[in-house]
Amino acid sequence: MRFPYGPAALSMLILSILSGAWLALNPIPPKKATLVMWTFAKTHYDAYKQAIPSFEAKHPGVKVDLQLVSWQAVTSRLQAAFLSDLDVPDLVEVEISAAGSFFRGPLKDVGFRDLTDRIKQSGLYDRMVQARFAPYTSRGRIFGLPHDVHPVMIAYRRDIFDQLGIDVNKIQTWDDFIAVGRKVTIPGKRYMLELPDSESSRFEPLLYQRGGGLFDPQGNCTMDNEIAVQTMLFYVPLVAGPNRIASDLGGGQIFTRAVEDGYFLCMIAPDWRSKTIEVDVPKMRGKMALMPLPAVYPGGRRTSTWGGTMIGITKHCKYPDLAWELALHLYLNKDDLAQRFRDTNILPALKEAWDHPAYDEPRPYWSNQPIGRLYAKLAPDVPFQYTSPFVATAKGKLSEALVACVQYYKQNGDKGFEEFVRKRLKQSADEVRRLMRRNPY
Amino acid sequence: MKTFYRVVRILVNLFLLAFAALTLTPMVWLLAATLKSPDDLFSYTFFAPRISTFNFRDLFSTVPFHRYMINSVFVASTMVIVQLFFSSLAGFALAKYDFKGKKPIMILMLSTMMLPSQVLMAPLYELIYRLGLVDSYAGLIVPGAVSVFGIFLFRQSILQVPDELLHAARIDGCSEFRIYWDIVMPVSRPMIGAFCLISFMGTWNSFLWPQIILHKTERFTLPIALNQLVGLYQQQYGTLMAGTFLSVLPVIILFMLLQKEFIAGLTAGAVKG
Repeated sequence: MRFPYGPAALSMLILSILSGAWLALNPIPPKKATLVMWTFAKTHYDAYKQAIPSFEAKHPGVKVDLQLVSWQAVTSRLQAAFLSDLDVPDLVEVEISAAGSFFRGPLKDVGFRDLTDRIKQSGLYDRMVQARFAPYTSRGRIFGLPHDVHPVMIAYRRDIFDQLGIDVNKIQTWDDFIAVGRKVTIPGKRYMLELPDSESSRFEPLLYQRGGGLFDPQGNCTMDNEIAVQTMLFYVPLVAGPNRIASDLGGGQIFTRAVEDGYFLCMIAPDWRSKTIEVDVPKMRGKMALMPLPAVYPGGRRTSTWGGTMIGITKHCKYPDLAWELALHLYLNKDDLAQRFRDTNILPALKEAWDHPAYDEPRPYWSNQPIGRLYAKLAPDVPFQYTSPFVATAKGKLSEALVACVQYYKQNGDKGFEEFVRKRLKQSADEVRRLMRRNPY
Repeated sequence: MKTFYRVVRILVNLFLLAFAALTLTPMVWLLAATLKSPDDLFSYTFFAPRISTFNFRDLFSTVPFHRYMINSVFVASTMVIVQLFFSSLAGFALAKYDFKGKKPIMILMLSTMMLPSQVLMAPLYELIYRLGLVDSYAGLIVPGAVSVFGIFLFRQSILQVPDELLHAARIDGCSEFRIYWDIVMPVSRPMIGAFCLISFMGTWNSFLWPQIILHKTERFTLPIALNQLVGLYQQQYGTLMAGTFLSVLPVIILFMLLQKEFIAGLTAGAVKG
């Protein structure tokens, strides 16, 4: 008998019945969770999956439903959940650049629980790197426990440096670095450093290194203060003009080829990016090494910070004490943290965890350097990074200012550059301030 | 003159060939990327000297990819069947019945097509939440059960069915539903083919709504599952490429199998006989 509606409808019907039957025969086991937790990083998800059974064993009858939510979706989904009070998880991991957006409005309306007292009473404020609480603090109240420190170093092609006779121990300041860069840079063929000229992701760590930032502890926009101006005056000639020593080609395949071909000799490398480089440029195993960030002035800070994650407990949570215990279980277990470091190169914010032997293990990729120890040495010195609900806007406006300054410098060089930088940064900062004033809260 | 036309034809074919090659380049790159080991992934633009199945093995060992595939197949095919039924039924009513308010209903329905779906997401989410359908397959299928585009498509197609055929069926004692089921739908077969493919591809690639509605990883459809492979700080490109390749494969196979139906559906009524 012929099916009268054609092969398309028939095939859809067969597919629907077969797949439906398979799903009916393989049901998802029902989960009655005491706590629901969202995380956005697959590496965290895998690690927590292993850590949660021991937490559940310690708390009989407690079930934790860990959900992996895409990092692109977690912010919008959580904002929507807070606003509608629907489907709000108990614990959430939030990325640093999104965290500020959740602290909008009066403190009583923030969707996260205030963890300040818990953190201070438990002594965690001193046991963790204090600077890392800053991005998750609003009006003096702490809403998240920091997952990481993300100290910044410079990853470099050790083999090429050796061939060129460059001694990295002699590179102490940015002036030293630039002097070496001018010698080894061959325009169009080889650049000392990978730095973009059209977005601010690498500008920000250099701004933090100097003690600057987009906002001050009170949440005022500071992206046009003297530190920001000096950082811009330093940064732009690195990426534009006749004496540039930096370039940027983007990520993925082109980045890999650029590193392999020696197009870039150095890259700004927080701990997490050292893993990205390992994964994306595997052929450089044994040819790469890490050095501290050059200081702005002799004896100055040799690191900065880039990226981060916090865990927060929502006000929706019915069992905040239990949720707090879970957060501590996931963030303070030294063995788990050590394994996570081995898998991700990410240094935890808990200082005592760095005593674990995992951080002293030599890494063949990084010319057998104990990269954990290198990052850990710099970690106590990472700068404070303050946030605001307007942080995403500020980052966008800073990128716009950077593009404008680069354009100006390409066309006019040093002539009137400082004045232009001051004016352009003020313009961007004023736009942010205007938006902040319009805040209905 | 004959030679001139032959030269023009060759040139046109060469142009089309070049254009086809250009269009296929990303697909070839994707295929090549799936067959490279992590060490070779970015070191060769296309194929590496060593063929590796690492990415596929890694994909199936790190995520339950087969489950995501079956979820996608179930949601997409069921959605097509449900949409096909309701849209053709509504199209039939609008094409063959006269009733009060027919035109305003048609205009109202068509005007909803101009609303971006994102605008409706917040109220729709609340509705689905109150119905208890969040994190369920039904939460994906129910809101898309009726397609205005499908209604319009079937209305246009069913308008071509001669009224005499329907009258004859009524004289023979056919019920109105049977007329629709046994007369109108078989006659609209080319449109069914085209609609099935269009609807299947739309649902298969649907991203935003499933991302909002589905919470348990076991229920994820392919676009959501693939998106989970996109890391913020780290990226397994090879695994992602393997997943992407496998996710486009069923659509390509389906299109190959049903392309005659699809083209017949699109060209139905194009030439008046």
